Amino acid sequence: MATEIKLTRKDFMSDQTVRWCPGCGDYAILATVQKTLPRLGIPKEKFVFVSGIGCSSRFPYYMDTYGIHSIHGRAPTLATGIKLSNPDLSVWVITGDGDALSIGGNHILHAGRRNVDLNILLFNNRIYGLTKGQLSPTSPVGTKTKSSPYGSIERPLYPVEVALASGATFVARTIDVLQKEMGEIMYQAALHKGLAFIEIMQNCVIFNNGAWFDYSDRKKRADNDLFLEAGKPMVFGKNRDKGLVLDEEQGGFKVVEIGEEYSIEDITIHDPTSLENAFLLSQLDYPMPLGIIYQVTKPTYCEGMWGQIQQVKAQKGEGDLHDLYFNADTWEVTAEEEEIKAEVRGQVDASLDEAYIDELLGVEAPEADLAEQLASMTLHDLKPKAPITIRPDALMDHALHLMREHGIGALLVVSPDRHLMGIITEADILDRVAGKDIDLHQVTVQEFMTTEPVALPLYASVLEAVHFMTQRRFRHLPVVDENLHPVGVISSRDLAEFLIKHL
Amino acid sequence: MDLLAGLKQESVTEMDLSDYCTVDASASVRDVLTQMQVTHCRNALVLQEGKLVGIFTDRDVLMKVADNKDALDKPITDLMTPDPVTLSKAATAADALAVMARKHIRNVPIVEDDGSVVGNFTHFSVLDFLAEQFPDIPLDSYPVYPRRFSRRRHGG
Repeated sequence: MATEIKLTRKDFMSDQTVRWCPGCGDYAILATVQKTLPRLGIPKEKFVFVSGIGCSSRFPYYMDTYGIHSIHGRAPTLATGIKLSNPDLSVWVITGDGDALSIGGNHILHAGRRNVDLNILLFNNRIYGLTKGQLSPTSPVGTKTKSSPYGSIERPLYPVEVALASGATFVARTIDVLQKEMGEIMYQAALHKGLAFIEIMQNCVIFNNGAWFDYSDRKKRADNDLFLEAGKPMVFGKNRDKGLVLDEEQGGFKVVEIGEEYSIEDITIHDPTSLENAFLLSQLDYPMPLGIIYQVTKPTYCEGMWGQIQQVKAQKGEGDLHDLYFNADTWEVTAEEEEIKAEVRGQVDASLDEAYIDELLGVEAPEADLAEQLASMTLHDLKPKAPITIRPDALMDHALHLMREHGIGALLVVSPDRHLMGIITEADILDRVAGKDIDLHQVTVQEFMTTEPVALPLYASVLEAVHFMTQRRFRHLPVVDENLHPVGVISSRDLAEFLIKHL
Repeated sequence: MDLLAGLKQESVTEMDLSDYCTVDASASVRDVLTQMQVTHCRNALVLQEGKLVGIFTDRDVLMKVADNKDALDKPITDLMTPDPVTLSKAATAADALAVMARKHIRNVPIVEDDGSVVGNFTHFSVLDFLAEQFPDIPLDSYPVYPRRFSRRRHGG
């Protein structure tokens, strides 16, 4: 029987523990990438993620694809090499405002002007996060940081403007809180042939919390965000009563109210093929243009380079690297031994400034809303069912009997001292037992169980349980007390029905 | 936000209905098992000439197949649940949930008038929907708990 293997988000999740600060915008971007890739219909082994250095650059560890955590600022360069040597790959560059625009400023320009067929995701949080809060090249004038205690006097770079100037053929902007829109832009970027550049406005919850609140806050964003659609008038605002009109005197866009003086016909149409409009849009901050700002088709670097290689080979035949190296002025340098004495002065303190982070984390959240209410509900409120347990050395036959008798899909495997050792579910029976040549009277539960299952404590939030189940597609989650003794199991049914009842 | 109102308005077709695979009614139980194992599919919808005639899930495997080798060579139509409860595309998420709770089932296939399959509504459809309702606090903003460290090293 022919079977088509369909990829899901889970196929792109690695076994690494994701280590960003709780509340970091990076989590949403990671989730969106993992949700978007399966839509592309590209086999998993064709994806490569290349990053530089920074918080965002930890990304390749969390993707179950090929990837390189590379050299600071040089991710576009490595990616160019990867794409050039194997044009069949879908190559993604993950970088941040520091990595791409400070140390990597020159590399990003050349990727742009060459129009290499890459997808560059720039996580812009307007701060150096990994080094604990210094000025970045995108920090606005006046930003007070540890390295600019009296306020920044530097004009910031606008990533979209830089990308346009460098010659990128797809330039877009999105924001971490709008996962649906972000996913669509990533999808379009992946389909684009040529350099696709996406600026993602991302919140650094520790060192620059709220940098984008004007555009991400649910109350403010309707009035401040402009969602660009090709061929549609650039209208925005909660009541869609404001728009952009080209102001020929000032040489830029101006915001007008749609009503008496201006009608909807007067509002400028978004044309993503116009570089001029794209530049004007790149300088706006009210409203903030989100979506595909610029997109045109131009020959890519790989097409050009491979075309040239074919052409030269046809004219001159295969080359010889040895001849190339030794064909002209070459000579040998005799080594003169020189001893260098390295001296280490002082000790580098690598420990985190815990007190400082605690102080920052202690800042109260701006508003309590339904999502937070949801986050404050715990599994204790959900009253999980008592678990049906089994010993690891019990026979599988007994496990099957227990599941059938109780009509349940999961048993917790518990040691004699009541520690949770594993879980065995109907999915394990389907995958590892059914149809196989196994005598259920001869094998024990521990041979088939999933060891060290993810368990949640009773005081974990319901939101966390939702998070685990939707991400990992677990239908059962063990619940444990503080001694890691199992006290219950919650199923996807329990969770769905509880949430419907209580919200 | 009134979530219940949202679920009453949300058409099932707007939700994630991808938690299924399809098999042909002519297949044997063994064929279906192999497909489910290879694709990690938990819920197989059985089709005859493109129309839904039954459903076969991991629960059926647990109850009828796991310790019964004789079952493997039977046609899937012998072991599936025939004529499962379905809903049309006009149904809302709230309808689907009500059916699931009332009949105590985990899968509600969504079908066209001609019996062809649109998708499969499960509890994950609802959980995914709920997850999307809270974009301001991304659901993924929590480190893994318990904070177990991976046995493999990673750098950075």
